[in-house]
Amino acid sequence: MTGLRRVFRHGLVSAGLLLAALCLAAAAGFAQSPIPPEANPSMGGGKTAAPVVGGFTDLHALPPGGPAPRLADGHVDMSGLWYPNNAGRMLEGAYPVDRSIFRQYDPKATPEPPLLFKPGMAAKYKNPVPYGQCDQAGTPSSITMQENQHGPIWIDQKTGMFTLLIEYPLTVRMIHTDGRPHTKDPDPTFNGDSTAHWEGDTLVVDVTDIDDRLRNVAVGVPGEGGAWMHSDKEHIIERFTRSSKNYLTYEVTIEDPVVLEKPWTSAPRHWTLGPETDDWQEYFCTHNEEPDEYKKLGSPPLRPAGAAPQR
Amino acid sequence: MRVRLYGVLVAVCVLGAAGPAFAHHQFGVEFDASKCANMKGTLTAIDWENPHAYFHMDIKDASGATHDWRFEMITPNALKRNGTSRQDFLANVGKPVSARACPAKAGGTQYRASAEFLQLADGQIRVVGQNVERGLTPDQLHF
Repeated sequence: MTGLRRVFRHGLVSAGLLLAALCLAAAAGFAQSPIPPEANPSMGGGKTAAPVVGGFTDLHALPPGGPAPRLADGHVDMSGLWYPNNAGRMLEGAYPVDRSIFRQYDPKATPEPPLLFKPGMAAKYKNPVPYGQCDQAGTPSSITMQENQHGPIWIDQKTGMFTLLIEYPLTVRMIHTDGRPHTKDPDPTFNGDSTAHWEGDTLVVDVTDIDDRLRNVAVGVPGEGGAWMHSDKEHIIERFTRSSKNYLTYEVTIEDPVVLEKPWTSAPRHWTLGPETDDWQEYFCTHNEEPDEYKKLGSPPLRPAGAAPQR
Repeated sequence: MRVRLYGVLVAVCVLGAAGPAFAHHQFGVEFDASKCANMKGTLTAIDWENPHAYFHMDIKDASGATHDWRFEMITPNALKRNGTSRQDFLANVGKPVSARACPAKAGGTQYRASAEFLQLADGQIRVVGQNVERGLTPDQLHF
């Protein structure tokens, strides 16, 4: 820990010196840069008349859109392509989007509680996602991590079966909704053993037997940097509610008696319905981000396939 | 131009480097958010695959030599859903294009950058990369 503090302090000092050097360079003349000489770092003044592709100026939070549709069995039908924002479309990229449209919940209105590790467990189980990794995420990360990844989920629902097709990381979950008990002696899997029942218009999914070699991402701590491992005793309860035609909420509770001091429950995170013309698309991660590039820059290497979890 | 360079650096010194971006990975590991610039060249190729699409531009350096720059973009799934397709790139191969982009950090591969916005020959601005320069809107761009 002392060493870490020293490294951290050293990093701060280095960063300060670097920034100071940069500022001095600005005074003495611009340092050598790989940017070609005709490049223009300035954004200039005034506004350009060039139109922007994508209809970003029309972005708005969707209205409720009327009541949620129902299946013949009377249950709310959550089928459709859902996006993790309030706009009903994929919002990823450089265009600055108003936070009230972009985010899945208002932290002032529905704050998420802090994640409380048991004594000594944070150091053992906190485990940032290695840079550039795009492996399977498992339950519930393949849903929760969309606050950073912004990808959609396709829900296909029929009487007795609730199917989730998650675009990235490419995931399929088929969940019985008749309230049947968990599988007897299930094998551990990365999405776990799921069974579901209805509580009014909310579908409650109960997940056990989750393989403990994957991280929880955007669960109690934001971003890939806040990821943590869980034990094989983890128990997850997910609540899906379609409150109107255009809005779905997802709320997840994590119980892990080995790692956590007490269960953690997310805010009800909003998802909005995409247009009918929008299809689920393939997202096959090719790891094309040039691993040699970030190895050269000193980032953590990817964990070899099949290797033990980093704890 | 030098005055403009100084202006950007002063802004960096005062405000600090740009914050983290949205996407598959953290921008700051590979790219230098303090050196984002407008870059002009000729579009030569498109790599349309996940997790990131890339386009290539031939850009001349100070000596007049031409280099193949590779520009990282976001997932093609997001590009396509926001109005920019693989066909848009193929139709512009060989034509002059401009990008707002941030180069690889010192020690990284030369002639490699992460693009934020792109202007193809049709003059329209396309949102192609991560949100690196917070507060930068397309209407502030002057290529």
